[in-house]
Amino acid sequence: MWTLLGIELFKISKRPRTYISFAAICAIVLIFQFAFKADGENYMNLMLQGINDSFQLNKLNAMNGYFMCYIILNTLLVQVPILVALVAGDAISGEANMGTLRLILSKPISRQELLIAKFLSSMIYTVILLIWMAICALGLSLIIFGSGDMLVFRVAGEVSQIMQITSDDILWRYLAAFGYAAIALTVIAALAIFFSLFAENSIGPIITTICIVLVFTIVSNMNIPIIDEYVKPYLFTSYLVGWKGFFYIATNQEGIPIRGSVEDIQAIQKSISILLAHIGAILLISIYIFRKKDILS
Amino acid sequence: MGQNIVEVEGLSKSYKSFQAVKNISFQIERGSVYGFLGQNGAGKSTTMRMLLSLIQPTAGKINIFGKPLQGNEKDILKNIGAIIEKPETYGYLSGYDNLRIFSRIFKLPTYKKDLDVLLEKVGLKGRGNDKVKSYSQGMKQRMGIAIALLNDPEFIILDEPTNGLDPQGISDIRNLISHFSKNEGKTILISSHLLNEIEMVADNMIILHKGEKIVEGKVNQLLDPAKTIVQIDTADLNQTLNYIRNTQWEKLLISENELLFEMNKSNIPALIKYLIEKDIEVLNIKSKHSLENYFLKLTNH
Amino acid sequence: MKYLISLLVFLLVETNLKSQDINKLINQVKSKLEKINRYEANGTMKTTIAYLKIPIAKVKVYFKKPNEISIQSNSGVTFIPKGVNAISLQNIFSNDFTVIDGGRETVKQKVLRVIKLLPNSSNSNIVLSTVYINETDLVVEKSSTTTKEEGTYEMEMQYGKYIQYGLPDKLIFTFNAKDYKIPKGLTLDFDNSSRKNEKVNTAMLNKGKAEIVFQQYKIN
Repeated sequence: MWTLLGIELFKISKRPRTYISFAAICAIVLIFQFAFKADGENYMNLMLQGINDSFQLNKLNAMNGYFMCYIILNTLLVQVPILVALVAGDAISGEANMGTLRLILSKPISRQELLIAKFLSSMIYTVILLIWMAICALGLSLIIFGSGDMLVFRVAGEVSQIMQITSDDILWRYLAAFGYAAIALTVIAALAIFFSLFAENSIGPIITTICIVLVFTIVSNMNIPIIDEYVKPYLFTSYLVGWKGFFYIATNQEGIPIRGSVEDIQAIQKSISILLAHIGAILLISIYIFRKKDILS
Repeated sequence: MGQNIVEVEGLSKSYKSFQAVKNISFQIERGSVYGFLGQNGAGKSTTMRMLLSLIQPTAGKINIFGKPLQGNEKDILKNIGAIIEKPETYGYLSGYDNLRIFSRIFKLPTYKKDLDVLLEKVGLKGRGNDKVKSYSQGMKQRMGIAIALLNDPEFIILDEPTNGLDPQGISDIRNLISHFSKNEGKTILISSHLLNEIEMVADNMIILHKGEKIVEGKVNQLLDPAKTIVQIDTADLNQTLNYIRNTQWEKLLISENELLFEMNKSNIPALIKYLIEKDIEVLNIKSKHSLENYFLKLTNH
Repeated sequence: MKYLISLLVFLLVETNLKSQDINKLINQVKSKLEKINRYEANGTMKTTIAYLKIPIAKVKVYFKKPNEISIQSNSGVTFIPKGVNAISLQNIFSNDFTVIDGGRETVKQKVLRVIKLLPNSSNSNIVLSTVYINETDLVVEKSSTTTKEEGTYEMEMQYGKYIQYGLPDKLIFTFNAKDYKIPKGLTLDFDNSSRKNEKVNTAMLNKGKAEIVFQQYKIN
């Protein structure tokens, strides 16, 4: 099992496409940082419409590295599933296409172990991708924009809110958020591997996974009561943004944020459970199918 | 385990309404070279894949090394080396890396010197650092063989190993097979649609056609010299056929599209004499005693 | 008749005395405040408004005669209510105004003198100020200022060590803020159920409160 995992990681590390994702993330982050450095005040003004009339606020201080990272993650975590699908969608189908699937499966290995190794390697790849994202989006942003308290803009129900988290209370939230994102993206990886079982080239599973993520995400973001109630809870994409839950700080009765708290830890736990259940279910079905599958490629 | 390394009984494989392999049984003796003959789609690859547990049989039993394949896949595959169709390897990896990957699966040493020995054996000395995608088809084939031999297997399965190779490559593979069989005592299962290929290397053979076993036996027994296929080219095929009708020769005719007779070699002069007497212009006469004729006869029917 | 004259005289004297009384009171409070040329104070500011969840900020309050006041924070991001100038009592008293006696009212078990200040100039941003003065200590304990542009501010002051300067230890400042709405679709939020059924109290939505606790004054 560990040998297979090592082999899978070795193969991933040797494929040029693996590094496209790292380059893409770096490029997107740099573009964001450049844009915000050049014209971030306009964004702040947009987000602070109405606030400017009632409060004095040093907007440039608010636009610090922590805030930048949040903005970047907000956008990037919609794109990263594509990058994860790019590698995970290739896991089985890419080997089928190359003809190496029959080669490796004619060796004394169990299919179950191979699939789990491929799944784990995709997961490790996802985690490394997230670490890279943390380095670029958080580390680099802190260097460029500096540190400070972080503002979180949120629309909760019908209420718009601004939450301020003190700088000494942020880092653990990012750690938790990246951890959550790793679980969320692992669902995408599992889904891409699942689709890759049925194809003999990697384009199909990659496109299918991306389409599902996009369609589900669009539906997840619709604000229609009937969809809210009957559709959203069943779409895994509704839980992909759960990492933000770590930035929804709880407040005391007076509305003052409580350091080290999150507003609804149960909602996050529920989301994590749902995502883990998705991973487990997809993985089990995939193993069942893969074990029965005739390798015709 | 006995003399047989492989024992297959009543093996079938169906895909919905299509039956790829129909109730095939055969045994492969230890140390022999066993040939699978058949045109494309005859069921050779499907059968070989079933032996490697790549495809699940719909029915039948496979015993390898005296153990049922089902449930003992890992154990059995430890002692098998295989090339199925084109021996694709990881093109983006070097020759060494490809060998290392599979060495690790077999828990074998991955030192360069060990891998060099293997590369030299298959004629890829000095190319270990190059990416496999830069190899020629013949070199890829050799790399595939190197991977198949990595674990020093008792039983080697080679599915169309000479496909796409130049004459030199084909000759090299033949020599390798004969080396492994004669010098190293390996049991080899080889398939081909190029029938002289099998004729040259195999001791026993099976002919598959549309998923069915048509013939099984020792190659030298199947090549009965008394039964020769004679092909005659004449200027006018229909005229020739008219003269042959209702004669003793008609019974020997096995194809009317081209004049093909199955007869004892000793009867050839009499047939030619008859044709000349009838004033038929004979352009060419070919007689074949090879397995190819045999196969041709069976599969054309 | 004698009786009636006596009553009239009494009433006239009383009213006059009253007017003199509140002017004197205002002047006493004012002169107490005027002793301060400048001050600098460290403090904490707790701002609460429905749409803001912000921590208690460490602030520095600077004042310079006659009525310049500013609140600054070193912590980087601090929301300072714009009407904060109104927290300077000097600002209220700096205008020329007409004094109207509002009698006495008991606020938090203290009897305070209620005085309404009507600016004489029509250009003033302040429309009406009501101050509640503690006549014993000569300090304003509560005030309400209605402005033309920023609505009504209310202040409550609690005094301690710096009572002789008329500077509070704690100040609660209530203000009106504009509505806040983030443009839809910008935030892609995580819907946790806790917020789903939250009823929006629109009346309270724009009412803000800043509570400043002064820890240390450096005066003059």
